[in-house]
Amino acid sequence: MIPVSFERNVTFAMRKKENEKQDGKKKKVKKRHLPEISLPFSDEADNQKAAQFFNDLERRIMLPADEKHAMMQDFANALKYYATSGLSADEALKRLDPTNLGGFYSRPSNTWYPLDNAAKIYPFSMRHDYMSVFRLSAYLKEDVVPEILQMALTFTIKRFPSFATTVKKGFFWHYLDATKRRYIAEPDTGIPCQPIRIGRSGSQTFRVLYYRNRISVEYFHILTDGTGGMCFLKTLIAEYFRLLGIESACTDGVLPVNGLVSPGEVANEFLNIRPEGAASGFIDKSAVQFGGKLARIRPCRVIHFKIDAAALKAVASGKGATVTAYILSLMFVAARRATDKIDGEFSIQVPVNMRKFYPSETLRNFSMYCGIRLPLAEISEPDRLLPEITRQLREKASRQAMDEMVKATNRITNAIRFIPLFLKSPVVRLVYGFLSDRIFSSTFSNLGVVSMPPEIAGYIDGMDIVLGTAITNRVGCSMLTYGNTAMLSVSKNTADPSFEEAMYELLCRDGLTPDVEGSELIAD
Amino acid sequence: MQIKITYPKPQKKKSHRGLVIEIGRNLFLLAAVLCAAINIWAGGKAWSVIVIWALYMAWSLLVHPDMIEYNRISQFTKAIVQSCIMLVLIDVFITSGWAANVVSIICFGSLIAVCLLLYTDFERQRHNLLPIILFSILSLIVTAVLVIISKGKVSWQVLVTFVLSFAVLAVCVKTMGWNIKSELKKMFHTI
Repeated sequence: MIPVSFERNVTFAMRKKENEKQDGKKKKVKKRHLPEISLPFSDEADNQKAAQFFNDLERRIMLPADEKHAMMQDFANALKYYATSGLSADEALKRLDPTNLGGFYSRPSNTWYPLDNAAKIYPFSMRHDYMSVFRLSAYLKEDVVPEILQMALTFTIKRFPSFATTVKKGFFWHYLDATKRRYIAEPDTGIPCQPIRIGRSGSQTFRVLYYRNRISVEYFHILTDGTGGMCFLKTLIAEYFRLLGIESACTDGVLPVNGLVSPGEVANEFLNIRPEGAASGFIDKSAVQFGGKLARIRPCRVIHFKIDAAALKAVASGKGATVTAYILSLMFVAARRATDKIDGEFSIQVPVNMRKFYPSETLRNFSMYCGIRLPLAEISEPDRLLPEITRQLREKASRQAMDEMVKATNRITNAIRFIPLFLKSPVVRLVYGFLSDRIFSSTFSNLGVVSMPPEIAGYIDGMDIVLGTAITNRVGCSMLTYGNTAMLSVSKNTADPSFEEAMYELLCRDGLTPDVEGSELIAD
Repeated sequence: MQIKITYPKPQKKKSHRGLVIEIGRNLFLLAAVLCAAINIWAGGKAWSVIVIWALYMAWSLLVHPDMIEYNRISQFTKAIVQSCIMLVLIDVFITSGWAANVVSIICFGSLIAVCLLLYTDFERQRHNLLPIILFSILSLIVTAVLVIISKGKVSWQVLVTFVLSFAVLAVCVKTMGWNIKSELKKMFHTI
């Protein structure tokens, strides 16, 4: 390893630190200079090229010194990985070409984004121990290389300017302020969807995590919804594989990292909809909650049911229902077994992707939701519930119903737009405190079938989506299908295992015996 | 049902903030109600107003701090504004006649301090101008009102604060530079 110190223009010393100590001449580095970075190649000519590379790189990064050095160190770590894996210096330097940074880090951040109408509630609803966070993960065939993942993130983030932001307070509304910083990939901590600390200047509003063969991205919902989040994850993975030498076409929702950002990608599409008819859809009766004491750390456990997708589809079709309706029917029956209540109604929130009604390329939030409600007394066998669930899904997730909800959202937003934030905030918090998620017993979010470009699809084992915590709901379910595996994920906010055990039993009864994976239970 | 563990062993977080907030909320509410009740029962000056405000200050600055914009400028300006309100309350409810001068001195000191906070970490703090602008505008309005109601017999502290508020606003405008229109739109947008 050969150290390189950065002065105004990079010059590199061809002596090792140890040698310097032996010589008794410690290299003098002025305070403003960046610390030394080791060059990994054994060949002097290669290191000359690398020094040139860092020289170019340094000019492209206009960040505070500590972050600038950390970012340059990321490049050095990636080069070191390439060198140890036997890649030629030319190829390594080509893959990490600083032109991939574009001008992102060489310009000050002046952009900002008003929150979309669905996101406006999230800053008001967050608490110190609760935040609306969801996680999307991809499981690779091999273990993740953290150095390469870090570089993939560094190159990818510029393509998603609305993600490279920090939540700020305006006088009337919160907004997303563009933040140029080193976005970091970090090891998984074992508790998914924990609140993200977004208060400090330049804080990230999402986090990229890795654990063994899994790459996860956790998003504060203020940034995006499942569709936008999946687009980011796919692009990150495609860039990760490019850095590993596996190029892929920008298909199946992967964006070109060096492409131009389209205005439509950051648009608040709620403002472009002019729904007609009534405005409704928010207020409802309180729903029965599952039993079990709420855990202090939430989610206290995440469980994944890996189900054969073809078999699941066949079972649902055999019952004359969609997969969503079928899983909902199982959830209602499992929920019935997870409570001691004997009257009232269960209500399961089902997010609805508005893009299916209004085609859009936006990566911001563009989804609404509906509530599928059933009285406890009528819940017995899943098959008996299917007609009613299908009917409710057809009606409540229809374009008209969604339009009504969008209209109500737009109307509320408009009504309070001129009230200063310091007055609006306590009132909205109070109202949200009364409503919150009490009108629902649980959530089921089905992201549908996810595909990756064929060049890299074979390197990916599976994917999943995990919903974060809720305030009163004990369970949140989510599902996506990748390849021939449907991954049904259950986020638990209580230690009571009744729900997932019932789900398992019901799936097995229909011949869909799932493989079950998950996290350890965090006991209070 | 066998669950294969595919997550790292969770490191139990030692954060007890949620619990502290839960207990703190009840304690603070109890203390506030008790103070008000004792004050009403005992009569005399309305000292409970000051106690309740102090409790609110402790709550919002220490127990339940901001989750968004928790930066040195916003927290500093928030603490100063709340302290000034406290002084005004003491002036109104306990002993009067001094608050205008004291608050003015605190304000002009704080305006200088806030500029120091901005310029000692300019790269990061230039994104936190709104609290400075609002603080300057507030100082400007308060001192302008004091100038008007005192009919020219204002103390030097008030005048200095008035001038400094202008100066700090000018500093903010300079910091925003050519981008001022966009910056103001960002801070005061209503969409």
